[in-house]
Amino acid sequence: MTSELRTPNDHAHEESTIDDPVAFVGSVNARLLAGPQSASGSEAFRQHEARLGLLNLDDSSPHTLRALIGAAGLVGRGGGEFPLAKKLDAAINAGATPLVVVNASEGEPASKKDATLLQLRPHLVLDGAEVVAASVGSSDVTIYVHRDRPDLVGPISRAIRERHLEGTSAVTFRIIEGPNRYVSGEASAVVSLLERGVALPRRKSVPLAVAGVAGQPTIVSNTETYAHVALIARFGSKWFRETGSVDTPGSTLLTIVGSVPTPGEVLELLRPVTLGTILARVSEKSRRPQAVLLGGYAGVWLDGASASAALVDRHWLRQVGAPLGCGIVGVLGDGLCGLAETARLLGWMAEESSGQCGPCVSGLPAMAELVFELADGRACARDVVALRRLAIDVRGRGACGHPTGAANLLESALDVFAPEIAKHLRGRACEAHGVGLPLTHKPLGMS
Amino acid sequence: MSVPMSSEQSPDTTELDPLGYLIVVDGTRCDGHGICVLRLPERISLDQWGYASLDVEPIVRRSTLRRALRAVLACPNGALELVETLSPSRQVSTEPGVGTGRLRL
Ligand SMILES: Cc1cc2nc3c(=O)[nH]c(=O)nc-3n(C[C@H](O)[C@H](O)[C@H](O)COP(=O)(O)O)c2cc1C
Ligand code: SF4
Ligand code: SF4
Repeated sequence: MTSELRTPNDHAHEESTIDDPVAFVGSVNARLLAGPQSASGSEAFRQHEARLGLLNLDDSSPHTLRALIGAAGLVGRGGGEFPLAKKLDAAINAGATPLVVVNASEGEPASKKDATLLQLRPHLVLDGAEVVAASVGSSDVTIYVHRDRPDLVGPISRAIRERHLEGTSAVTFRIIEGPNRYVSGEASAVVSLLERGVALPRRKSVPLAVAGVAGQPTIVSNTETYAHVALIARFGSKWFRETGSVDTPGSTLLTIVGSVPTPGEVLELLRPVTLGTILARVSEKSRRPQAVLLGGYAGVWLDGASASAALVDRHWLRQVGAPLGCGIVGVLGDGLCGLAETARLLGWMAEESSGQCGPCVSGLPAMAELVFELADGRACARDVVALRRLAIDVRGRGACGHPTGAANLLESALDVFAPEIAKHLRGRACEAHGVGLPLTHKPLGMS
Repeated sequence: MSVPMSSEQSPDTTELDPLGYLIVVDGTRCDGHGICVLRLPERISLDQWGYASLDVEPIVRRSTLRRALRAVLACPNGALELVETLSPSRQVSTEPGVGTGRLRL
């Protein structure tokens, strides 16, 4: 189970050139994904240092490191796109020594980017965590993963051992496992697990960076975010800003899933290009799909034409209301029904609710059921109105962002699949068959 | 939660410092008793299941704040909370309703 990564990540057949905006594992133009091909497995510590040079933090004060991260303009890659430097400053100003947590749970069934980093470039992630720890004067790093992931725990613990043997680790790493559920990766659920062993989200009247685990300032950031820090610490903020855009600098990892030849492929985008250009790199047939679900299962649907033309830049996408989130690009091919797909995803999200908040517990299953009926040709126009109302009633509610994610998915589906809805309302059941996007279990309400 | 009310009551229209307060609900605690809405109808409504849904605009008037406090105290589940809001430059979270956690009245 150890090296489960698909080899299609190695695009040997289609070499990227040095100024290519799209990179694959091992491409010459790659940054996070630079280095050996995925078939070589986890990069060893010595190879990592030989390739990137020594990470020397001895001469850098915490303040200098935080200033460097600030100058780079790195925003979190876990979905919220929050500036890391602001989080670090908040933690520092809170007084007590902060805890540093690598969120490696990657609960989105479609996302593979964090696993790719942890399996192939574990030292990049550990380096970044060490830098962040040093930047806030901490000497402990917790890596939070889901249970039953030997494919992740294996390479991470091997990498930690290597660093101990080399005597290079300035910090103590520990791996903590949480339940294999979607919401257990939400930052306050991570904190709650570390605090009392139960991974349930909770309301945050104070940011976790100020008061997290047992009131201690707690920095919870995404795996990819730390990997970027490892490179920023070595090559500087100017180098980092060569990629991405002025508003959201840096490269970004994408996972392409759904109706593509090799679903689950991870690639690194170095400069903003249209999504159509990126999809054409995966397969020429995918250049203009029926629709795309962007940003994950809490993201939004775009119709094929808008998706192809969309500029894949975090800032640009946020402006048009389709944030890139954790970088998932879910491709809906011809012959699949966007409504049936949305019903599946909503059913899954309903089951993934932690069951603590009324609007989430009542709203999500109701949404899933109605969309399922809609796809089945059993709904009427009033149900569409009810669905709009449901989305409004769950948005921004509950202790975590889960209901808002469901509202994003639903509202965008109602917009993008309006023509299909019209057809289904006339009593036509779905003719499309087949399943597009991956899930961890069968969704609610589906046989 | 105990928040002392100032004894010297200023006129109801006084603008509050610094930017205002938010009344927020802990979704994990709200059981939909609906008592809060009677205290602060202009900022709290009940959704289709009866759970409290709160306005995200900061409270800047002392009169509103006073009634917001009554709503906080009225909730049998202790689900409501008043938090100080922050200027965007001081915000350290993208989540709505996350403030300093301190309340100065
Ligand atoms: C329902 C839900 C699930 C989440 N799951 C994850 C996850 O699996 N991995 C992750 O890094 N962030 C996840 N997040 C986001 C985290 O709450 C948090 O914002 C993130 O880890 C911060 O890292 P960043 O600042 O580097 O983006 C989730 C959020 C929500 C609302
Ligand atoms: S909003 Fe939903 S998932 Fe989030 S804490 Fe409440 S019940 Fe759990
Ligand atoms: S009084 Fe409390 S429990 Fe009842 S609806 Fe209002 S917030 Fe919810």
